[in-house]
Amino acid sequence: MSSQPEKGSVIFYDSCPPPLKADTYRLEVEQTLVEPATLANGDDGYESIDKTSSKKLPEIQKSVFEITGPQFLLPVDEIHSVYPPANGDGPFETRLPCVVLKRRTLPWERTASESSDSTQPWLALMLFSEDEVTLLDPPSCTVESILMHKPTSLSSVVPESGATRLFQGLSASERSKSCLGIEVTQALFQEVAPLVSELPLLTHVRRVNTEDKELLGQDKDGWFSVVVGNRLPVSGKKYVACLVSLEGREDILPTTHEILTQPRVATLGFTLSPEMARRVQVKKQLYDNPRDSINPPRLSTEIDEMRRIAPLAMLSTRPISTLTAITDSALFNYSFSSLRLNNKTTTSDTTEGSNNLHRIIVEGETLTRTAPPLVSVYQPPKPTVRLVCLARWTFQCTGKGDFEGLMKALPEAGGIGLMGMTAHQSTNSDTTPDSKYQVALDSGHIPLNHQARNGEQKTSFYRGPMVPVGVERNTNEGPYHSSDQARRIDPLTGLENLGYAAAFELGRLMALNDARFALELLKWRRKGHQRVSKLINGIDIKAKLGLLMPDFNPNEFLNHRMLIEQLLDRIGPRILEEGLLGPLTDPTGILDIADKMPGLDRNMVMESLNLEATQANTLMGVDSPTGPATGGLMNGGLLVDELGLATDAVLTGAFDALLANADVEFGHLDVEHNAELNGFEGI
Amino acid sequence: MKSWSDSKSFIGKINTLSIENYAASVNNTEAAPLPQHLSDWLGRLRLLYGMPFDYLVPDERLLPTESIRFFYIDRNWTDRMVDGALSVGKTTSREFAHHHAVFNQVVDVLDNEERHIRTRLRDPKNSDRSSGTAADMTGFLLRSQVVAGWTGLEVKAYRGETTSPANQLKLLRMDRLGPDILLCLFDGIPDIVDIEEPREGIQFGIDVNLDRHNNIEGDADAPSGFTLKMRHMTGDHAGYEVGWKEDGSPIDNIATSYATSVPVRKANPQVLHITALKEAIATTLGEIKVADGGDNFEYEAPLTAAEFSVQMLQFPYQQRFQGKGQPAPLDNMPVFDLLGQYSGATIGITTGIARLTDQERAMLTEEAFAPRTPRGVR
Repeated sequence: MSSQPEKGSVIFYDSCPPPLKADTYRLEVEQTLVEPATLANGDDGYESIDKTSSKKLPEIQKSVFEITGPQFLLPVDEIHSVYPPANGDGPFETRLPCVVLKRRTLPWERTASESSDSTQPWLALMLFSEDEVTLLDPPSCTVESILMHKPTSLSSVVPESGATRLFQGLSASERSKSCLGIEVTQALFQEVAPLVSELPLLTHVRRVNTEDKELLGQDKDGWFSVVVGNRLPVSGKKYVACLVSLEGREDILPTTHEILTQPRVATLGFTLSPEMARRVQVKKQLYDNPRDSINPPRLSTEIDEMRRIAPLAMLSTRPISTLTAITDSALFNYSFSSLRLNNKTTTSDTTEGSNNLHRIIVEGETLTRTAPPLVSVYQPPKPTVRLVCLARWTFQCTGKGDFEGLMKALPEAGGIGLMGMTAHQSTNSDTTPDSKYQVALDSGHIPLNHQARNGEQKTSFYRGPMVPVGVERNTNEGPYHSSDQARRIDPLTGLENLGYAAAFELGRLMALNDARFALELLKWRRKGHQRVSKLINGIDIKAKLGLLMPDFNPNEFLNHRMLIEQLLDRIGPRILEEGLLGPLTDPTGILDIADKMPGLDRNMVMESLNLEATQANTLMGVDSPTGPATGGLMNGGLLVDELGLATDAVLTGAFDALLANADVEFGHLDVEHNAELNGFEGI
Repeated sequence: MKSWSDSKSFIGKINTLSIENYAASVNNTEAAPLPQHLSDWLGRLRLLYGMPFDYLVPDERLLPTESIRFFYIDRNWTDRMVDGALSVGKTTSREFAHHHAVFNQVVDVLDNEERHIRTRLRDPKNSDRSSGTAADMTGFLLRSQVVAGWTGLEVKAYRGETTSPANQLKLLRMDRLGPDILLCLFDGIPDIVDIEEPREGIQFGIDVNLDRHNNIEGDADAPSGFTLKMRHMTGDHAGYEVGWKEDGSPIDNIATSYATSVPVRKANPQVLHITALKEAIATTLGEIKVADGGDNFEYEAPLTAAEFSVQMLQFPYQQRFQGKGQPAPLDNMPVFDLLGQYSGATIGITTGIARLTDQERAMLTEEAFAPRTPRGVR
């Protein structure tokens, strides 16, 4: 993952088309053998490739795969944000609407044109005022009803178009899927739809740094695709912004448009809201725009009014919006026979005494903008266009509800301040609080009704974690074990302060609510107990064995049972050498009867086995030349060999001595042995 | 293993040897005294995750509609909450002794942990555990339509008189508690707080010429009544308007600012003629380049879609909250107020234009074709 752009910077990309568009593809794999040039002459030891070999190469492998993506429905979570905000009400007149999508490739996953131009997007954002558009909703609105839409209710055939071709490629289930849609007159659509060549300019990719943002799921990489509209809203109207699918529908888009060359004179329909106008002025001053200083003072009001009224003729070519509000579908309910077809502009009566200010003159006839006209004459249905709508939202251009307006209104509306009852709130109350309560209120305490355990109804203070004054952290107050420990009584007011007690209870309840936390907590605590037990046992052991081993580590000892053996190895010799365990004991009482046992008498053993004195001494472990032979049970009155170490050592020593002089000790046995065998030789 | 001491002396010993010995013993055997799941959970608790809103704002008058309230976090309060969480299943004196013994360590671990929760939420692979001393935690609650309507607001808090990156306070938490309520927590006490429109949602727009009745007025230069000021697209001043002045002198050594007329459709003057606009912008940019001689302004024809986008930008509005009057004493938050100045156009936002690198393209292939729910082959 490449790193994000620097804080505060935005990187723009023209487009971000995926390597393959959403479609069905066939993958064919074919293997061929190529004869390298070096092998061709055949003199380097390799066998030349036999093309006629019976072993055939694998045949062409074919597999079909499909790349899917949003087509007629867009999941809500694909949309990161929209502007102007949904249901917003503010001065948005100088901003083009836009929608920010989370997937950077989304606008290029399909294409509007039939040819596969990879940078031609299939999404467009279109803006309609509320009375220009008919919104189509599920369940009556399906993919079929949109793609197979007849241009007028009177026409019987659906003309061959990109939409029908797209429709023919769909499966039956896809055709009957319900979706959102819009229907507008063809004339209006031609008027506002982007040109084919404009689509790529209205779609691009942005990359931002998301470090200072709210976490919103998968947007940590900071990539977004943006679709922008091309129509500016005007003040005072309600608008619907629609993200429409133009997949394969290049043919309905206008190809060229004339540019307005006559200077537009201020007109009634295109007024900026006072808020927006003020901002434009402020911005102008800020920019130090020379226009203001050079221009002569403004014309008088009257002249200006005239200029406002004069250009109304320009409007005549456009339908008055209130008339188009009566949609074709509504008129279709009339039976044909009862209707007279009339191509002339509708006439309607003007209510006597209606507000003259709202009169508009169109082709010499007077209409009111406010009162709905009475339609007595049938209008022929105008051809309409239906489009799949992937997302839509409404907004209004009357109030101050844009970002700047909302932020600037904060001081008057809810106020800017520190958490807690503000001075404004406390002074506005019926009774001015006593100064001693004021201290509590100022520091963020809130008086709340409190029903105590004993049933007493009283008022107590509560203060949450968000406080208007810095509170020193008291790190010396060790852990609390119950919430009652954290209850405090305010000496000034005599009221109880339950903030910390509530915090304790809340933490406890939240912990209990999370099964995994509770489990992990118990596990951790049990581990802790085990460690403490070990530590304390270790201290006990150390106290007892410290005499023997000053650097003894009881933890190691208990962790490794093998160490017990090592311990014995280490203290064994010291037990032997220093007699640490005290004087000799004679558990069998053998010493008392030694003289009655001939086998323990050295001299008798010497004689019977024909041994030298030293040999006998060694073998029997005689303690002293004169003492009884106890097999090494006694050594200077200090030793007891309960483990048999001494005996082992003595016996091993004797055996070693025998082996050292093997010829002398065992030579005669060898001779005797051979002599006996001689008698049998040759048999 | 059979204990070498009876339970009475055992507890007695825990209480006497307790903290130092116990802590030493723990450190000998394990790197982290608190399991990851616990420290993560308690760290979130410290940052008030999952806390019922009534506990934060017990009275609706504390946070009326369209208001912002700054606050300090009462560390004692959050410590008590941690105590409460750790009191689950604490029934015998043994557990009490254990809690006593580990208390200080737990506090230290969480002081560090709470600073990394957000980092990890943004990127689970981020294993940064760099420690720092726990500073005062502060924050604000914003209840406004702004929160509901502008997804991805950007919030920055600074300690000090300037907004240099070094002064920026770490953002510990930023979350929507309700559709229109935003909670932000900072690691330290701010002097300046900036709330800004989201940058990925920067809008396209135009400037308007008005008559005195606030009607859009065209003239010979701009028949539509709409104009657009040209911006730098590359270099140090990328994103700034050509000839933008700071302290009375242009930052880019270009004396005049350039505006182009915005063509609209004859059929509907509220619909911008995007194709013609692109041509107009390209022409004006070419003029700037010629006039400038190529020293201060860079542009290579033809105009790309991304460059076109940069020209159409209207910069995000940034609302600054700053203490009024005297600078705040060292340890206190200033009394915040809106900064009076209109700062919409002055944000030092930098833009760049780039083409996808090969690496990014390769990445795109991986991501765009990550496995999804399979569908039957037709």
